[in-house]
Amino acid sequence: MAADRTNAIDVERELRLLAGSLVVPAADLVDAVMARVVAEPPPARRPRFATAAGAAGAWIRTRWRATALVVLGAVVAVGAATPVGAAVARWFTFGGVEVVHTPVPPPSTSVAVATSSAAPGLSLSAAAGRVGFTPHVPAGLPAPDTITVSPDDRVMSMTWSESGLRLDQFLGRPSPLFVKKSYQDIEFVEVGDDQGLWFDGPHELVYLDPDGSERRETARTAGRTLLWIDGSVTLRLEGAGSLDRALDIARTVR
Amino acid sequence: MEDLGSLGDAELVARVCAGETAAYAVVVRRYTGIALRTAAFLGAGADAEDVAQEAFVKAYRALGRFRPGSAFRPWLLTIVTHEARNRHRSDRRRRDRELLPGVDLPAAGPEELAEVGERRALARHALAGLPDEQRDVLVCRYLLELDERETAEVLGIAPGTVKSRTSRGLKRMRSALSAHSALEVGGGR
Repeated sequence: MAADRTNAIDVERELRLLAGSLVVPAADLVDAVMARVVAEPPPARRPRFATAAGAAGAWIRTRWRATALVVLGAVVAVGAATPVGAAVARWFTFGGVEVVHTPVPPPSTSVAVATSSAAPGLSLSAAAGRVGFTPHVPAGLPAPDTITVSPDDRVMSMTWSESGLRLDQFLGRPSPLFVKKSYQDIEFVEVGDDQGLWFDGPHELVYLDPDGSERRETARTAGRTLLWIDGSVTLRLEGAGSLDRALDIARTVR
Repeated sequence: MEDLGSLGDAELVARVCAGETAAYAVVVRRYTGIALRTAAFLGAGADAEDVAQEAFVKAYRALGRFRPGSAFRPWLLTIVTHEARNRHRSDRRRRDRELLPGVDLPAAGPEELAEVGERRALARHALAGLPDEQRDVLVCRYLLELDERETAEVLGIAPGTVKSRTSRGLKRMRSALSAHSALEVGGGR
């Protein structure tokens, strides 16, 4: 019988034997790598929050520590050298997002929610298969007009063109996926039982490669955004206008 | 002189960030083997050495963003995987056609070795025939011997997805292999 025949094959064992037979040529990379990095400054282990932070900063710092313990379980150190130089005052990671405070506005002040995409839309299940997690869906909204997944399968985006809403979701990782540069203070909020951040103004949104390099070509100025973490997934909702409306929508996300 | 080789990853990373660049040599030495295999099996093939070297340099620059307290190995391999895929993004069809290009099976010697070689070739062929997302998971789990959590991190997917893709991939390989009598004959060995 077919079932008996297939049971006789131990595929896991075959794979382990295959692994043992595949020989990758050895190489000594130490000298080559060290020759390239030795002249570079030490990697930017960022300093802890700037000591000059004011009362608002102190509040954020305190709240953030509490948040980090609950949500992330790990606090990220901070560094002197940063993408925008010594101007950066504060820096931390929230879910899959690195948040950088800058004292200057983002380069562009025109804010447009990217609700359209040249990529063809996907079904929810097809998108879920690509990103590898169960997508969250806002029950309080109609079905999205488009569902897309980034070329590297890391970010799923839903857009509603009529209301100008955009919901991005991605897994939190040991390294952040986006960097948000905000020159305004952010607000810590509660989204149901989850922790969230509210960006009450324009900020620069930059996609990060796994090695931490910024993908400048896709950088854009984002408007008011609610960011929150649900389990292992980080969500960002853009285009809701006010915090109240963003929270209303976020609370219906299942 | 202090034996840096006895230090753990977290301590080494902390020292590199504090300016002790030489500590990074220990990190590179420790992970060269797995970095080369990851690069070779996840898309770089014969370019594995270049890809691994580039990944180590990028990882050095990104150390400041590494979250202290998390595991270093999967974080590094995530960068290696990204680099390997970038290298071959423009040539994806080639990657689909030949699994592990540049990596050769041991040359067939005596009769018995030839038979063993054939079994390996069949397994390799069946693995290469899987959909990308199932193959990548099986490569991480069985060829690189990463655990589920590490695999999830390296591929940027949820641990539950690793589980489901593993089981789908194994099932698919099993039916592909069951078509070959060679495995039934040699199945007990």
